[in-house]
Amino acid sequence: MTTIQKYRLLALVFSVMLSCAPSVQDSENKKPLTPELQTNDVALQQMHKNPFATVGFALKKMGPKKNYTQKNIQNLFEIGQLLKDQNANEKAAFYLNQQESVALKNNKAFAETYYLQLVEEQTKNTLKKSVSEVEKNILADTDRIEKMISDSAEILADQSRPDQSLKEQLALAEDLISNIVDKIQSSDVFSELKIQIPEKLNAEAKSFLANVQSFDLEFSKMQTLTEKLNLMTEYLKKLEVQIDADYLAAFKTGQELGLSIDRITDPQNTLQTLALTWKMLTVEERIQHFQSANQSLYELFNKKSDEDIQCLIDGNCTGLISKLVLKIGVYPEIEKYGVEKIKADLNQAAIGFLSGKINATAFEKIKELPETIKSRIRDSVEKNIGLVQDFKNKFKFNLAEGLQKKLKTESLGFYITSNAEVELQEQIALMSNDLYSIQGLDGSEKLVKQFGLIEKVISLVDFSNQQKKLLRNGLSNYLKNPTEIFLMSTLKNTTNTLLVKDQAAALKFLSLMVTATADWKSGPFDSGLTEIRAQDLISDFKSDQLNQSVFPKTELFNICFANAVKILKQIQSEKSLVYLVNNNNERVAISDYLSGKNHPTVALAAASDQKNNRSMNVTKVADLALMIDALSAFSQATKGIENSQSQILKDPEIKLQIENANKNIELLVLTLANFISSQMIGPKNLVDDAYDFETKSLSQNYQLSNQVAAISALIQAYETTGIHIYLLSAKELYYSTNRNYFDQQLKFYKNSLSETKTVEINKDDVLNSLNHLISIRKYLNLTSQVQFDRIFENWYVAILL
Amino acid sequence: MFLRKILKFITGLKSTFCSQGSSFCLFAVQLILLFYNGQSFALTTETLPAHVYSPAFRYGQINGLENRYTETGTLVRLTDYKSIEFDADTLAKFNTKANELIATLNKFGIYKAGDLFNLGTLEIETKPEIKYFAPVLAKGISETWTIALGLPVIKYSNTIRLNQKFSNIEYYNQFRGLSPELDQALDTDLANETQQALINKGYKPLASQEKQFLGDIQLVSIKKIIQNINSTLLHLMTVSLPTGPEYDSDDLLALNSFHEFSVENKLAYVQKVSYFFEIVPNLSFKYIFPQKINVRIPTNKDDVLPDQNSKDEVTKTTGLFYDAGLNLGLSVSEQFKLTAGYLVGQKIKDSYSNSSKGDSNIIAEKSDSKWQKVTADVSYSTVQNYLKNKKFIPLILSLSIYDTIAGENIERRLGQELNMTLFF
Repeated sequence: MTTIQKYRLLALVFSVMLSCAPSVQDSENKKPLTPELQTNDVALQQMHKNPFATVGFALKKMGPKKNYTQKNIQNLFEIGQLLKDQNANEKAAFYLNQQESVALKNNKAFAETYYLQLVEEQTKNTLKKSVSEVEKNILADTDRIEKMISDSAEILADQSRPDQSLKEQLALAEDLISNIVDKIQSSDVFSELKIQIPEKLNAEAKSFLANVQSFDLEFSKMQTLTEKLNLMTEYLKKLEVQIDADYLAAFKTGQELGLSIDRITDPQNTLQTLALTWKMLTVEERIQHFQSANQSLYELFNKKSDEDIQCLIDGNCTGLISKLVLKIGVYPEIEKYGVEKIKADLNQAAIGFLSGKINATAFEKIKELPETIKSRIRDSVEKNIGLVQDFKNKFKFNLAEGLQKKLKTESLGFYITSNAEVELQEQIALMSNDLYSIQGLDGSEKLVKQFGLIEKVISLVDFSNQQKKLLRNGLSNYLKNPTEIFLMSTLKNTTNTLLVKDQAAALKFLSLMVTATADWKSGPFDSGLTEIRAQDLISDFKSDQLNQSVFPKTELFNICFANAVKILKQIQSEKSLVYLVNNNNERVAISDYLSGKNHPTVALAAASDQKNNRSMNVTKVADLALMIDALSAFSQATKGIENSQSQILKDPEIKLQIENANKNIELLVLTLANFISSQMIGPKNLVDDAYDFETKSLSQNYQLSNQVAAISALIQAYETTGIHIYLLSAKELYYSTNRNYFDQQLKFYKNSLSETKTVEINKDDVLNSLNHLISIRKYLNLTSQVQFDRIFENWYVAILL
Repeated sequence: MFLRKILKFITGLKSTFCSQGSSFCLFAVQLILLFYNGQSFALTTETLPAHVYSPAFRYGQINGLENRYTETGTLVRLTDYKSIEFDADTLAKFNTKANELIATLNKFGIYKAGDLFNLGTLEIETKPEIKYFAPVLAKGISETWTIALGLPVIKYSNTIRLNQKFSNIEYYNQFRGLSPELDQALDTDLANETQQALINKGYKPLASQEKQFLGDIQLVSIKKIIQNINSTLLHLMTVSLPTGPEYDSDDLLALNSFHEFSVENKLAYVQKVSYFFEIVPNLSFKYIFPQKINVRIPTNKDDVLPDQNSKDEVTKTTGLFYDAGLNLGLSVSEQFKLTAGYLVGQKIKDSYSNSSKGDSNIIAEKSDSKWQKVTADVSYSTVQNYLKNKKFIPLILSLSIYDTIAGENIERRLGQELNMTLFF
């Protein structure tokens, strides 16, 4: 073998060996699948010729206009809110006003409202305490003012003398009053006293003194005793001065004397007047006035007995000797002295006497003046304290009166009734519409709506057949106590039936109210009702404490939140209409689940109506969708609740409860959404109307309203829980709805799969469908969004026309 | 929690990749590497002259062990072969809790989200490598009989990494917070769970390692039975003594190929076709004496990762090894010789004595194997020169490369060996 042959052989061997080199097989591992859309949106324009309605077509198909129900108005308002379309809001508000003007019944007076009852309950203790405090302060300050008056009185006592003229006495009195006023005004006594007492003193005392001064002036001008006494009579009456019996007797005697003096014309009646004067005087006065003037006359009278003096006064002395003495001795003596002179002297003496008496009386009265003022002040204070007590007792009525004036209406239109019964569903729709309509209102109209809404929130308790029991311990306790409440369908509670849709609708409305009154958000209650202070409603009584808001936003929030919690509490209660469903589609009561130690895996929840305390076997998709809507609304409403200034929410235990409740709410939304999306889906990816737990089967009934409600509920579940699979499921349902319900002739969705010929379309269905489907629009791709708009736009325009 | 139970199973599956009686290991290598040995590719066909000593030093390494021939003969990466996908079906099959969880996830939406749940694939990426150094001393007893003693020193390293790939857990993160069990499932780190499951069972955790030890000492006899001018019939016998590491039932990465007392007999017929070219057909069989080993006995087929208390001493009877080969030798010059070889063989299934702890037959499953191997060898020899003029040190230097080109239930072995043999 040559070398070349050797190498060839070698190359061959290595070639064979290399060709034997094994190759490694690669694995086929790849990324596993995740849930994806199974179908795409149907292109209606490719399927049908001219599938979309024109405005004219829509108007023709919807037929003549008819009255809107509260539910329709609610749909229109909600569409307006979602699309931020003012036209829809205005149209809805228009229909709402129209409805309220004819259908609002059961007017409620303000004094009968739950809200004012609540204010009364809540302020009872505070007000009582506050009034007691005011009383105490006023009485203490009254004591201080009395002390000031006593101090001033001491100065007066030093300056005042009995011989001072009335004019001088009056000047002193004026000084006293000015001094008291100055002292009160410069003190730090209760403001009302500081203002009122000087005002009263100035008004009453100074006017009195001015009158007395006027009297003094006129008194000095009068000449005769009779004239002066008549003036006194006139002023006593004018000044309303009360005089005692002695003084009255003396005054009467003085008047007799005056008349007697006026009658003096001869010695005989002069003697009569002198005898009368003698009789009126005391022994000392007789010496002072008679003995100094005429010794013989004094002796004559002094020797006489009282009977003799009286017979002289009466002019009927019968004895001969006496007559002789008078004729021979007395009369000539009188004539000698001069009848006129005696008359003048007597008049002068009587006036002098009277003036002295007046001055002495004035002295006495002015000495008593400080005590009089004190007495008058205390009377006034007691009267005022009485008014405060009265205010406290009638606080609710005072507020009610004030509200009537402020809200410019005597009562609230309350329940709306389209038939004999007051139905909860209709009432809740009305309340929702009232809430939506606040935005466009101002002035008293806005105040009425706001107050009415809060009152209606509290009045939901009237729909409970436990109303009396719930309110047994007062409204305040009812709101504070987180007991569950079940709402009946009608106000009269004629049937013992509890409906899921009622509880859900109430919870949704209350959640909207929580959002509207949340103090950490801006909303329709930022102005209007919440700005009203108690003082704005109460004019009779002024107090700093009345400057607080009667309807503070946090209080309104507390009311709405407390009621919403009561509805939520029923879900956890033994009688709950909502229940969990285990993997074998068996119902598990939420209360049992929560109290159990070993929790089975549960991913489903549903709800059924109850009749005579028995849960129905059937659960309806519309109810579940409503419940998701309500729970999501509550979850949304309480976002940021940690920022609330509400005192109730500051309690760490309450905070923890709310946190846990929100987690449970999310779980409940999720489990309800699971039930719809996994248990109620029939063929063609459409949602069935109902599921029967007894037969564990669907009802085989597919309505448009259920499809749109389910789509909306699944979108809400997605937005509440963040679980993407609900969005996919909602899209799948929407595509199926477009595929199966869109009707070529109707140019809109038909109401049920079984419908073959549809002639007319109800605008309620258009509104309901649009309201429920708007939420999915933003999640559709551009092509589907355009198609969505084309399906609805002209129907919507036609409705707003 | 439920995942751990599944992982017990999954990790146990690794045992199916073990072969040749080494139950519950990540891989097992039939490591026969001494010179003069039939499975060592530089097949010796010469005996030493009488009374001549020949020390030799062999240095080699085996890699490619990360690839394996499956029972169907497909060569796959051990990483792929040993990986397992934790999809809903797998999860639901082994644990009621997992089943419940999947049923629960199926309630979310209309897509049966539970059925699509996939924790991913656990890949056990291993890169085993064996290096050995073996001093050998041979002595020519007579012109036709040589004996030898070899002391193999083994350096074994294995880099191991556990990866979790291809899961869709990210999508399911949206369900977090709904249930502690679901959260736990979503937080599953398959690698950690695997390690934890092993530790709980008393196994050593899977970690990269490097160690050096004395292998089984080998005694070799080469006897020329018939010798003509152009042909020779040789008998080679190799006796392995159990001096290497004992069987370790707690270490899934242990080689567990040592501590054997075995005898291998090979008959090789050397036919010189020309002065330069020879062909060497050969036949061999190897018998391993039954030995008592301490192994974990599974209670049933599903008990793939037996507990620590399942350990029992059983007698292992290793199945016979048979093979037949053909070597072609080409002497390029007096100094250089090129050799190419092909070997085909198989091993009979092992058997174990009964155990009260469980079913010992389960351990023996998939312990039978087949293989086809090739080798290329180049050698340089100064022996002829030495014999001519005595000017050179008599030695042979050779380099062998070998590979497993086909097989069943056997790792691929791609090796190189450098050999220096001296004579004096």
